Parts: sequence; structure tokens; C-alpha cells
Amino acid sequence: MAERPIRAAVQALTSLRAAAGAQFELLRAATVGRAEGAVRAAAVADARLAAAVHARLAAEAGPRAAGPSPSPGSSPGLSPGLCPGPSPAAPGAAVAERAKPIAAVVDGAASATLRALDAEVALLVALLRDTPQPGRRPPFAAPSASAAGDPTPAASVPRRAPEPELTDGVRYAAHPLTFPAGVGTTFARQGSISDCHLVAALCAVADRAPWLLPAVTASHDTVVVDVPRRRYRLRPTLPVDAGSGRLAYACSPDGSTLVPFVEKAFAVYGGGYPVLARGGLPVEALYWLTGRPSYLLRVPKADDDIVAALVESGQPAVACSRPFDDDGSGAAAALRYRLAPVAHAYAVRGLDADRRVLLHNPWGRRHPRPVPLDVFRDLFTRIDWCETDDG
Amino acid sequence: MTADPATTTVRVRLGYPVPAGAASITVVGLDPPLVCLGIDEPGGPQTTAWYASGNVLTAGGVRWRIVRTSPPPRLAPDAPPGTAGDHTVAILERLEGSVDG
Repeated sequence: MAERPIRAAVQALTSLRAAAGAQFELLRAATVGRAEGAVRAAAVADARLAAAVHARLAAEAGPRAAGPSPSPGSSPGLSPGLCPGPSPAAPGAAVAERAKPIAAVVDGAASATLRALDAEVALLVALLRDTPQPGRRPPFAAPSASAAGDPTPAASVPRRAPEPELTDGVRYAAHPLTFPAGVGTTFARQGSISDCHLVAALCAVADRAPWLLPAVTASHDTVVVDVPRRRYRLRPTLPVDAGSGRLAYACSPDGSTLVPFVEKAFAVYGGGYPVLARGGLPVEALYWLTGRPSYLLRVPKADDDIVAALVESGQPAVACSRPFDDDGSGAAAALRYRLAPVAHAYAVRGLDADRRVLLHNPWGRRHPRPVPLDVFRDLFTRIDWCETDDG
Repeated sequence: MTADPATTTVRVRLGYPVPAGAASITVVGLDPPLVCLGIDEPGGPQTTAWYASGNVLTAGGVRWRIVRTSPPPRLAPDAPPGTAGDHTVAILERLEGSVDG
């Protein structure tokens, strides 16, 4: 399938861009620091030279002009034409001013490199958009073309998707697209909305098949989220808490906005954030994110070996716990293993040496303790998973 | 629910952490009318304890009184994850003053 290597390249370039940006920041800081050091060193040398010249002139004129010698710390009284340059104790602003041209060179190089990377990503995304994407028909309801923001390339100016409806106490605020420093299980964190099915799926894909993550780009005041078979053109706004102004829903620990824009695209797909807040099936989120064949395993009906094989398979997998509202022993076990007392989705990490299931909570905290397989089969209802290749 | 320092009421939801001051509160267990709340403070300290209406807790350097608790709705055993996540399990009311001074 031609799509996969292109998506992998987009992902790699996106990560490379984030890394390059960070490296350029470090390089700039180091360069400016060295430039400032050089300017200060030159100033010290100039001052010493001036002092030596002054001493020689004073010695030569000593018998002719027996005036008081300059007191320590006073001006050396240079002859006209001898410029001391900035003193070693010159204000930092003056030194920084001298370092500006060097910083500008670094900034220019960084800007050109990052622009070149952006252009490459844009080309690849365009190629991805034009690549036929075979595969089975989505088993889930798909939004209309207009709701998704016109998924097909057209000669006319593509429309942006309407802003998905928000929950109470939340408003939209302008936020540019920024990329996370790294992609992994912890890069997505659930916010104040009950869409653990999506965030756990994001964590699972990021952990086990990051090349299948959506390609997200920004251009012309639009954030574009590309998932298989669908493109979402979004306004560069994100839901924020009306009181605090902080991101209201999904986020990344490093403050980057790729994750909330993916969540926003999913809200467009699903019909608004209030719909996401009702919960949902991870298998649908996995299919929407990756376009790969997605399945579910009914855990209570499977034996330990099947569950263990799936957990260790390396495929993105999300485990769903059951509610414990009418089951005292189940609630006690859930408390023991730090499971939420409600039906909740967790990204599957693998098995430990004692064949206990390792899980990641999309809350980004309160991760469950390793769960033995027999207990896992009692407390969980299903594992949703998707393939990572064509097999 | 907001994280505004001036917030006077926090609604603790069943399905996700909610900010309370600088901390966040999650529902860890339920045994109506008791609720087990997990409090994650900035920097990593965690506490987990059972509470009833009228109890007072500290989260994010602020003291909160639990005004009311509510049992969770009955769900089917195979309910999709996140179902009833918006259900309010406890309502906290900010007490005047901050324990941090």
C-alpha cells in the first residue's frame, strides 16, 4: 500500500521538524552566548591596550609634566584617536547589540530549514491526498462531505469545517498548531470531557504504530487533519475553559496543540463535543485514526492465552473496563488495581514478567497497577485493536 | 467546572479529572453515599481517601467542603467506555482562605 510509507514519512518529517526547531534554539543560544563572550573579550583587550599606551605616554612625558597620576579606577585619559571600545563592564544591551548580526544569521538558517521541511510535508500530504486508498468499507457512519470540510481536492477554495458544538462553560480561542516534542503513550491526555475511547486509542497508536497517526499541518489560517479517507479543514481555534482560558479538553503534557486538533477533527466527525462526552467505542476511534481493519475481542469469553497473545502482539489495543456500580467485589478489585469505577478505556502497554497486563490511563495519571490475566478477564469487557499492516 | 482560582464550586465528574485550584480530582471509588477521591497535587503528590457529605478536603492549596455526593447511574455491563462520564459524583464548595496562606 503506497499510503503507509508516505504517512510514515510525514510523521518522520514532523518529528524531525520538532527536533530541528529545538536544536536551532539551542544553537542560537550557544552562538549568541559565544558572540557576547567574544565581544566582551575584545573589549577587555582594547582596554588593556589603551592602558599600556597611556602608561607609555605618561612615562615619556613624566619629566615634562609632573602632574598627579590617575587614580585607580579613573579614566586613563587617552589621547585623541584612541578609542577604548566597550568597557568590560559595558551594559549587557550594548553587548547584545553587537551579537545581533550573528543571531540573525542563525535565525535565517533555522527559518529556511524549517520552511523547507514544511514544504516537504505539504508535498507529501498532497501526495497522500491524491493516493487512492483501497480498503474495506468503513463499518461506521461517516459524516457528509460538507461536515468533514470537503474531503476531496477541488479546484474551488475548500471550505473549512464548521466549529463543532461545545459543552457548557467552554468557548473557542485562537490557538496555532504546534507539534509535540515527541510522540509516545504519554503524548495525549484526556481533558474535561468523557472521550477516553478516543484518547486511549491515540495513546495506543502513538505507542505501537506512530506512523499511523493522523498527519496534521497548518496553512493559510487553516489547520488540516488528514486521516485515511478524510480530510478536515479546521479553524485555528481550540476549546478553552471559559473561566481559566486553559485548554478544556484533550491536551499534551508539553502544551503542544496537535492532540487537541485531532480531537477537534474527531468532534467534527462525531457531531460535536457533547456527542464525544457520551463515551464511545475505541474500535471506532482506532478505525477513524488509522483506517486499518479494526476488531474487538470479548475478554470474558476468551482464555488467558488469547488475551495474552493480543496484549503482546504489538498492535494498537485499547482495553475497556466494565462499570462496577452493582458489584461490590468487582468494585473492591477495581480499587485494588487502581481502575476507575466506571466503564473506562485504557491503552494496552503489554505484559510484565509475571504475565500481568500493563495499562496506561488516558487521564495521564492514576495508571492502573499491573493486572493478572484472570483478574483482567473479570474486570474488563473487551479489547479493541487494529492491524498495523496489510499482512 | 473551571480551574479559575476564584472558582467557588467544583463538580467532580465520574469519567475524567477535574481541576480544583492547582490540583486535579478524580473519582477512584464509589460506595454510595461515600466517594473515594484521588487528589493529584502539582509536582506529583497524591492522596486518596473516602469522603462523605460535609467532609472537608484540601486540594491545590485550597480547602473544599463536600456539599453533596450522588450515586452513579446504573449501566449495562458492556456499556461503552466513557458512558456516564459526565455524571456529577460530588459537589465541592470552596471554603474561604487558602491553606498556603
